[in-house]
Amino acid sequence: MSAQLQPMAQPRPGAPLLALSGVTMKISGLVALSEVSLEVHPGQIVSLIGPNGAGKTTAFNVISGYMRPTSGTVSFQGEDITGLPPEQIAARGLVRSFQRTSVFGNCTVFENIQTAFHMQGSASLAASILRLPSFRREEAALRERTREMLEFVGLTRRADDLAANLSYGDQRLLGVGIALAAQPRLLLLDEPAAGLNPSETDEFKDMIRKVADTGVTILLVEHDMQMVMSISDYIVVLNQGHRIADGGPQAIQNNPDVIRAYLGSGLKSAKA
Amino acid sequence: MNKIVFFVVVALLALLPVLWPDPYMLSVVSAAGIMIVAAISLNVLLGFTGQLSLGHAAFFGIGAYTSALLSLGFDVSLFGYLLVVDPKPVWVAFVSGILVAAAFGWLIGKLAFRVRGAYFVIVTICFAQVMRMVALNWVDLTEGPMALVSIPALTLWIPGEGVIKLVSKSATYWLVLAANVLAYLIVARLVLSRFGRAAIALRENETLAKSIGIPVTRYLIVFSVISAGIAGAAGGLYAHTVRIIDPEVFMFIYTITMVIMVIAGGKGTLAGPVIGGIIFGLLPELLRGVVAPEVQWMLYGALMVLLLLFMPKGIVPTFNGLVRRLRARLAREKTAAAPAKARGANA
Ligand SMILES: Nc1ncnc2c1ncn2[C@@H]1O[C@H](COP(=O)(O)OP(=O)(O)OP(=O)(O)O)[C@@H](O)[C@H]1O
Ligand SMILES: [Mg+2]
Repeated sequence: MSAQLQPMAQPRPGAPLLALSGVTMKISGLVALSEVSLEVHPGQIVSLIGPNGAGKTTAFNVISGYMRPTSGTVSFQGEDITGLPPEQIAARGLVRSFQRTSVFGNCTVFENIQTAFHMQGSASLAASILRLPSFRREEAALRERTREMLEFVGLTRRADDLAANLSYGDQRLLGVGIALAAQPRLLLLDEPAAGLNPSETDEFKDMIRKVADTGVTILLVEHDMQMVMSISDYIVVLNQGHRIADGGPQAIQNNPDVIRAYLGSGLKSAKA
Repeated sequence: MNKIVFFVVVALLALLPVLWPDPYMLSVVSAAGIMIVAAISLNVLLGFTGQLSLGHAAFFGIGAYTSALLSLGFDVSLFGYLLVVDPKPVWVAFVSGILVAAAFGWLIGKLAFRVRGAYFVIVTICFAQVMRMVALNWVDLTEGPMALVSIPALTLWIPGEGVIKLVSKSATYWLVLAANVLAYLIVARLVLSRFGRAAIALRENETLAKSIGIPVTRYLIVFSVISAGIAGAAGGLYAHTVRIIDPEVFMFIYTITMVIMVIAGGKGTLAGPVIGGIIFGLLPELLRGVVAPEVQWMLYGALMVLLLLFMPKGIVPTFNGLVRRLRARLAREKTAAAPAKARGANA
């Protein structure tokens, strides 16, 4: 109980990439987030964990502009982005993926990724309709980058399939590819490994590491504690809309509040 | 490959008046052709952004009236002032019709795209009704139900012959064909670009589209403007080929005809409105004299129901699906045959 009253532990000195301060989100009377503050520092993999209904997805919705917080502020790279629409937040380099699979179903996998490179293009309407050289160059470059991204997420063989026809796991990969194509500086992943089998989860973990190695900061929501504990630099725990703890993986696993609220029996498997 | 098919089809269509110079047939096909341009324009919105405009005849009518009025010249008293507009060259009038229709497309886009789905549909229906009322009642300007008559034909400058009026049945046919080719190419190039991908992203999953930085409302407006502009061109074409227009051009039945053409042919495909437009544009004429008008409408209804039952996505997507499956099967048979042959060689 005392944890939320303490000043936030500074995980690292220097300016945070993302900072929530005193964010409260009421959804039709229900307090989904209550005075939540947290910071994500550049270059880290930070995880946001907590039981079902803790407010993790709500936090993502507030950060990425899909919900306007009742009070409090969200700032990204030192700029107050509270209340900006999602597309403008994405344009600043803050991109989120969705908890439920989210793809452009009637488009091919290739088209999905190509579409996601939207912000990398700039051809005008006239140049597009007249098929000017500048348009052709840009399209060729985007196709090349699309191929590279498909290679990266391992969907090259599926390039011509409709996204709706992919397996669940492949749709999750495509979702990550779509988010990555938007060139995030901070990537929010909402339960990306849900529904993946253990070997797929391992591959997925490697991929997240690779993404982080390219300089992308990651904020991860995930229920797979093995993955969370092995990959995170820092962990924030939510329960019923409150931040109840934060710290490194070791500290979190030994925190009695966290064990009581969330980890419980799951702790054994995480330590194993 | 696709380009060659396109070129051959256009060339064959262009030869039609030479091969079969029947004036009745040519005028029927031209009338259908104008509706196909309108259907192509509706598909820009309905097919690619997923927004159903049930007032599309308004853009058609605005293009028709603007172009007709400017080419005829008019005078109208506005707030006590008399505004006199001299007749303008017919192409200037035609292009103005496109621009005015596009401007209304922008306005409707701005107004209506704050609201999506059912509200957008209602806004567009109301818009078309208001336009029809204006055309009916502002007799000073539009002549109301007495119609605008003697609208000049479009002209063409031909080296050696000078400026000719495009009044013959073949000339009208070629004009309509050219408009179709142009509209088709513009839409094809629009759709196969970053603009088209953004619009399709909006249609498929608006939430996801926003998350990757696509300002969806801006693209809705771009598509609304282009859609209205092409509909305006179809209207101008109608005004200068039929050469008489009355407020009926705003009627709901024309919008419904466009919607049927697009949905039957396959919304969201380039060829869909053309195929649907050929069928539903020519059918009334083919059936005329054969069956009574009431029966005609029943036949349409039945045809539409059958189409939607057996080809819910429309003719073109169903056909494409068949081709894809056939190809896949051929490929599978080939790979199945190859190892068998290899075994045979070893034995
Ligand atoms: N759009 C909404 N309308 C009504 N209630 C909502 C809405 N979004 C979230 N909530 C409520 O807010 C609370 C927090 O939900 P949220 O989805 O953020 O939880 P979560 O931590 O992501 O849970 P999970 O692990 O199950 O994904 C829940 O009680 C939920 O019912
Ligand atoms: Mg959630």
